[in-house]
Amino acid sequence: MRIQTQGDTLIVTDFTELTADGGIRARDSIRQSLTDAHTTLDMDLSQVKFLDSHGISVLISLHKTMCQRGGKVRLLHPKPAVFQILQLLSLGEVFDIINP
Amino acid sequence: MVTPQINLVGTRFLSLTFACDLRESREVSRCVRQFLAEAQLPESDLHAWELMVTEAANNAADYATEAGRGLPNRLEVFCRDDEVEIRLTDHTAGFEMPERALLPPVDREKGRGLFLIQSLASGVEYLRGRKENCMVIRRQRPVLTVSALSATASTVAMERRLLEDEQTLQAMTEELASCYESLSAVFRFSSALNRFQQTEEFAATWMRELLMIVEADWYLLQVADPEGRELHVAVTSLPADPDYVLSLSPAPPAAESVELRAARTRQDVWFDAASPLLPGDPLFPFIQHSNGLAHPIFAEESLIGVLSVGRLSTDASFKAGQVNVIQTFADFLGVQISNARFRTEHLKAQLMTRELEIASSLQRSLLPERLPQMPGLEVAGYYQSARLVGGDFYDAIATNGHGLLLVMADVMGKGVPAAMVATIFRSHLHARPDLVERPGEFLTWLNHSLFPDLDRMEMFITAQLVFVDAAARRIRVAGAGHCPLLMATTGSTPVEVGNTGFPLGIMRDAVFSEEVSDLRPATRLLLFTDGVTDTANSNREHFGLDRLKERWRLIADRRQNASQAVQDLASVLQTFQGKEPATDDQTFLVLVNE
Repeated sequence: MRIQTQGDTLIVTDFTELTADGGIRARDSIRQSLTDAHTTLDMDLSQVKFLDSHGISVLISLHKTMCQRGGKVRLLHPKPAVFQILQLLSLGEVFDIINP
Repeated sequence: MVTPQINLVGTRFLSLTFACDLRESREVSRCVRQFLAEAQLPESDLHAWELMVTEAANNAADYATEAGRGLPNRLEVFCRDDEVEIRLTDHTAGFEMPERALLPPVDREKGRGLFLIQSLASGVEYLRGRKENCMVIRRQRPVLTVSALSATASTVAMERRLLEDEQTLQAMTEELASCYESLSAVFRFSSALNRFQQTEEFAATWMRELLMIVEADWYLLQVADPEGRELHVAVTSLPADPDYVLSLSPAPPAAESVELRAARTRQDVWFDAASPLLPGDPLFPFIQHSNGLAHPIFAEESLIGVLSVGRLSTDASFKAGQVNVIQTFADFLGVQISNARFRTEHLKAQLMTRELEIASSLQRSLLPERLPQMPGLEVAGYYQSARLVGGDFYDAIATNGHGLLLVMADVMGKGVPAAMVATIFRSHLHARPDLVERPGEFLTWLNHSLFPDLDRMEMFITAQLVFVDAAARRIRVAGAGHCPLLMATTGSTPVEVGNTGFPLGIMRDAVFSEEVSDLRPATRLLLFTDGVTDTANSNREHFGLDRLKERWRLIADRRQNASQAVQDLASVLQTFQGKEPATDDQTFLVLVNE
C-alpha cells in the first residue's frame, strides 16, 4: 500500500485487498498520514480485487474520520466486482465513486 | 497461522478445517475460489463465493465462544452440476437467522456480512446445535446463455462425434488388423499351397496358427467325402480326439449338430450362452460350455467340410475381425482340400494314361514285325488294342522249314502287369525251339515254368499253340483254356478245333494234350481271342461265335488270301462295333493253306 499527498488530497494506492486481514492496519496507517490540510482522501481501488465487509468497515471508518475534518472520501476506479459490492451495499450514498 | 487441512475427495467435493482466525478465514476463501475455478465456475460466481465464504468464516471467527475458539471450524464444499453448496460449521453461540437481513445505517461500520451472504446466495440456512452450528449456503450455478448453451451443445455434439469417430477408428483398426491377418494368411496359404503336403498335416498346421491369431481354444475340422455323403473328423485340437461321423443324407433325423446345420444352411452357426450346444450334438460331450461358430466350407458349390472354432467359455465371443480371419482361413483351407483332391484325381488319371501308353507300347513290341511265310502257307495277324489295354499276344515261329508254330494267347488282366506277363510268356516261348513241334508238351512246360509267377500275381494265361506241319499238311493243336480255333474249308461250315485244358497258371502240374487235324487244301484257320467274339455294338449285343463262324465261312468261300481275310474280318468287326469303344483287345491270326 502506498500513501501520498497531492495538494489537499491524501492518495492511497497500490493495494489489492481490503479485508479483515490487514484492514485495521491499513486504516491506522492512513489515519496517521492525514493532516489538517487534507480535505480529500482518494482510495485508488483500481488494483483491488477483493473487498469484504471488514474492508467496507475500514472505508466507513475513514469516511467518519474525514467527515469529522470536514472532508470526504472518494473511491477511484473500482473494478466491476468491487463496484458491484459497493452498489449492493448502497455505498454510493456515502462515497463519491469515481470512474468505476 | 494454521494451514487449512484440505482433503480433496474428488474434483466436486472439498472439505477443510481451519482455526478461528480472520487470516485463516481469508485463506479458506482463496482455497474455495481455486477449487471452484477448477470446476469451471465463471468469475462472477468465484467472486461471490469468495466473498460469502470470507463473510461466513469471519463471523465464525469473530463470534466464536471462549470454548469454541480453540476448536477448528469445518468447511465442506459440494459442487454439483446445477448449484454449489457450502456448509460451514462454527462454534459460536449462534444467532437467529433473519429471513432477510437488513442493511445497517450507512455510517455504521459493521453488520453487512449476513446481508452480503443472503444477497449473493440462492438460499441460506443456519442450523443451530448445542455445541456447534452450521451455515448452509447454496448458490445456483449460472444458467448458460444461448451462446454458451450453443457452445455447450456443440461441445457435447463434438464430444459425441469424437467418441463415435474414436469407435469408428477403433473398429477400422480392428478391421484393418483382421484384414492384415487375412492378407498375411492368404499369402502364407498361397505359398504353402505350392508345397506338397497331406491335407490333414496342412490343416493342422494352419489351424494351430488360427487359434493363436483369434485367441481361440479349440477347433475341429470335418471334411466331406468326395461323394458328399458324410462328414468325417479330419483334424482337431480337442484332446478327446472325437471321431464321429455325420450323415449328409437328405432325410436325416433332427439336426442337433451345429456342424450339420452349417452344412445344410450354408451359413455360419453360432453357439454361446444364449444358444448353447444341444445335448444331442455330437460335439456336446467334448465342449459343453463354449462359444464359437461352425463355418461351412464350400468350393465351387461343393461342400468341402465344416470348420468349428470356439473358446472354452460361454461369453467373450469372437469380434467381427476375428470371425473374418476364421472365415478366411476356412475358405482357403477349402481351396487346399479341393486342390488336393483334384491333384489326386489328376495324378491318378495321368498315371493311368501313362500306364496305358507303356502297356500299349509293350504290347505292340511283343508282336512280330513280320510273320514267317512258307510255300503254300500264308500267315497274317491283326491286333487292335482297347482303351484299357489287355494282354493279347500272337506269334508265329518257323521251324527249320518243316513248319511253323502259331501262337495265340490272352493274359487275364489289363495294363502294364498284363503286358509284362505277356513279355515273360513270349520270352519263354522263344526259349524252347525244341518244343515247337510238340505244342501239348510245350504248354505243359510253359505252365510249369510260369506257374510260380502267375500264381504270385494271381494271373493266368489262356493260350493256343498250333504247330503246322508244312510237309504233312497237318496241324497239332494244344489249348490252355483258350477259345477254339476255327477251321474252314471252301464250301463247308467252319469247325472248332482244340478247346481243352486249363489256362496256364491254374494248376502247376497240368498236362496238356494235342489234337491233330489234317490241313486240307483251301483251308483257312482262324486263331482269335475272346475280344473278337466279345466285340459289342451300341445295343450291347456281342458279335459272338456264330457271327464269327458265318463270316469265316464267307471268307473261306471267297478264297480270300490271308491279308484279305484279315482286312475283311477287321472291317466286319468295326462295322458291328460302330462307335462303341472296344472293351478288350481284338486279336486274331489267319493261316491260309491254298
